[in-house]
Amino acid sequence: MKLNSLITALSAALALTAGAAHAQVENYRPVTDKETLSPAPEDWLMWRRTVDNQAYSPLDSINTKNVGDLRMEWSWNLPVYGLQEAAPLVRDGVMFLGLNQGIVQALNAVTGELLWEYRQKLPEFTGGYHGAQANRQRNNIVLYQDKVILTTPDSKLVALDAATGKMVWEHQVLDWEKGYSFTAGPLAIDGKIFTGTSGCSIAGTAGGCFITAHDAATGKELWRLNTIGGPEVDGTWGGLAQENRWGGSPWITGSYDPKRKTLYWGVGMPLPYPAVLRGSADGAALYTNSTLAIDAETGKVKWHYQHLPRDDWDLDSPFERVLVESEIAPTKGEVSYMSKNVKPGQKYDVIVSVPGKYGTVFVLDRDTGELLWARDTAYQNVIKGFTDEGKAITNTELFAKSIGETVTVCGGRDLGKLWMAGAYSPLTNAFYVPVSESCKDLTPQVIEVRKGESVGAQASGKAHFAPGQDTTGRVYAVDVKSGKLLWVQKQAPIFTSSVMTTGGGLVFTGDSMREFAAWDQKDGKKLWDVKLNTTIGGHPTTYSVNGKQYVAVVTGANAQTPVAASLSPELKKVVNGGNALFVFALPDAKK
Amino acid sequence: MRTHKIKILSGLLALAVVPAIAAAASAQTATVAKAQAPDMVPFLVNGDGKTLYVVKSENGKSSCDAKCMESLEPLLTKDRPLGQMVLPGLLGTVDKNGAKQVTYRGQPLFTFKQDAKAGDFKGQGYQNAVYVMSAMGEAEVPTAPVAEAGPVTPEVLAAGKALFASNCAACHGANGEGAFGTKLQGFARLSNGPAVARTILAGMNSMPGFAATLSDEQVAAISTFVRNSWGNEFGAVSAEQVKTVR
Repeated sequence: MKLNSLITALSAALALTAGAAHAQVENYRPVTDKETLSPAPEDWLMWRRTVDNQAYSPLDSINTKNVGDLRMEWSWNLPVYGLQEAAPLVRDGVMFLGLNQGIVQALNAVTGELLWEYRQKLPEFTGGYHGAQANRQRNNIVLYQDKVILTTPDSKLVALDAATGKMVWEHQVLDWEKGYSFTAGPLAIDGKIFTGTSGCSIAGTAGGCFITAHDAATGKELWRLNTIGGPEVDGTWGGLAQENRWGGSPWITGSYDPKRKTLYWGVGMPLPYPAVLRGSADGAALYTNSTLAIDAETGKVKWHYQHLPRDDWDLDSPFERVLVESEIAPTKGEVSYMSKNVKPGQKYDVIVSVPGKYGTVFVLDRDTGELLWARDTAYQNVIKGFTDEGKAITNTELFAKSIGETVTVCGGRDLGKLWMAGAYSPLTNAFYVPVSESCKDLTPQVIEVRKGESVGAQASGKAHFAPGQDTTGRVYAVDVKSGKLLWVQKQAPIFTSSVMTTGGGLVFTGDSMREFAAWDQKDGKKLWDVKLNTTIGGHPTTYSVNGKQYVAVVTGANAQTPVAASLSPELKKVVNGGNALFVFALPDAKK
Repeated sequence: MRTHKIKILSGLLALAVVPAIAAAASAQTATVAKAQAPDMVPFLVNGDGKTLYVVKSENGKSSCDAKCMESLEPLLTKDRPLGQMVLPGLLGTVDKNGAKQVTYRGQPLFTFKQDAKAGDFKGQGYQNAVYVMSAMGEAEVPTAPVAEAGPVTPEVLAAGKALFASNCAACHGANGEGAFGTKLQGFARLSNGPAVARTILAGMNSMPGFAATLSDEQVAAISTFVRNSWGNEFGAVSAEQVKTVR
């Protein structure tokens, strides 16, 4: 009944036309700051559900006892293909889909009926790169106040009226023709919208890559933080002038700590990838591959922790920073680093993250940025160890010393940790994280720097299995307190969607061979699975309408599949395209 | 009063600094930029847009004698040179009589004294020892001209289509629509035939190179196919042209 009172449902016979609003959401309740920080269990308002990026829903109607009965409720063909990195969001029984090419749809979350569709007008992309970015729009929307806030491949921030899908304002954040883009969506809280730029690999972006803050009412910029330039970092680039630096894309949406009014945001790798062509000598190249603690009011960096100084291999470190409160008591022999300062029994506000492609888990103190413990998941040979103070030591023996010299790096380049995000469960105090495990041949390569193209300057050659392994797909269940692995799932198909945890004791995962599955958080036992139309993608979400819990997941191609298939040819047996949305629920009780 | 004092102080400082600048042979921070011109590979210029040259050496010995060297002006810099549309790691310096001469990929750079303005190439081939420096860091030594590729033939297109399906489609899409790899439909950069062939041979970023597995004929067929499919109309690439960039 609640749903019917909120939605004016029109007949499905309405023809689809670009940009047309078909129906509107009646009595849309604006999302308040209070709700953003503590959403109703029924809702899923942002990509990882809450500002701590946990991707945990307290809903427990679907649980370890009954998940075996889960069945499809409805499905929906998506209007655009490309890589599938979307996150279905839900507010009061209305689903919002932010899709590739800047398309946003609002659907009745119970029936899949289309309420409105918005199509962002995009420039014609001819250079190749921006076209690819437009086809990998990740979690490009967030629900805030009475709006859907969208980021676009041409570097705009756009506000839509959540009720009608009509544009309220748009703001050009950066000059897309230089190479800047968005792939990840914004974070919104306290009247502000925060964005992280993508595309700082492109020639024209030399000298700057940004995290920005905007007035949520108008889009007006409040501050911007350059991740590769400024007095704090200028001394770390081996004497390179700012306009000769590239990289530092903060291309995954950060997290927010309301108590500290602090953003925690990850920053990507430096370019050109190999130092011999980058010219940064033995400089650490800050803030690349770092976690930044940022004052949300001013944009000032409170502290930084660099996970991989002097990256020579495009191993990136922008991935999800998850905020957790936990006791910290690392187990010797399990972890590769443990801080001497940790007080057993004391609860810490920490950041849990696998920030880079090489799979190492880092647990940082949110106040100081101190490393409390670290451990590997997949086999890696790029971090040699840690100093007594917890600074990561890069394995410089694996640096290519000259142009054309090939090195084999076990660090997940093109097939490691990627945007597919892990999830935390307070029921187990564990972080469940998908990683692909592999090694890769990399060779510094002289290139002509061209407008609109990457300055990576490294040939990525053959992929290999990690030593002793014959598969690449992994989910690791990591105990936050001890650093122990609760369980590990290994398989040939790579995990191609983000992970979700629920109050029903479940972990949801999706893989490249069409399997969407639910596991027991405690032991990793598979409790339910289904084969869908193609590769599972995006970020699974769960919501509830009129007391009934639903699970939503999108399908479509993943960027790592071709590399994984070069190692496991059976992975080629899936047809890409056909991007779709599937919604599952338990059968209704017999009346 | 305070302002007045600072003025005097800065005046003194300036006086003290002048001799040092003079001693450094008027060198400033040099700029090395990529430039383009008709009938020339992408090449390097200095901050004034003047063509930069390298001296060819044989068996470690410069083939430019003392008289030849008189026509050249070393590109000097006060400190680390600045790049524009070049890989910064290719820039360096070498000691030149106490001053710093800019190097690119380890080779010292010069301007040619008779070049008066941007776009002059008077030094190209001078004394068979001086050549334009390419953006790739190679002396642009002229080679025998390669014949035009000729018309696009159905046979080559068919061969290219089959090779594309087995080598490229997994990333670039069966119809060049792109997904993991770049979208090739309407991709403007395909207009540069040698660059297409070079990318197929050497790879680029996440794209692997095919130099070890594909022949010149096969690379030419794929290049021709992608340049003339899905609405693209860029003409043929010949095996001979591929050979020049392998």
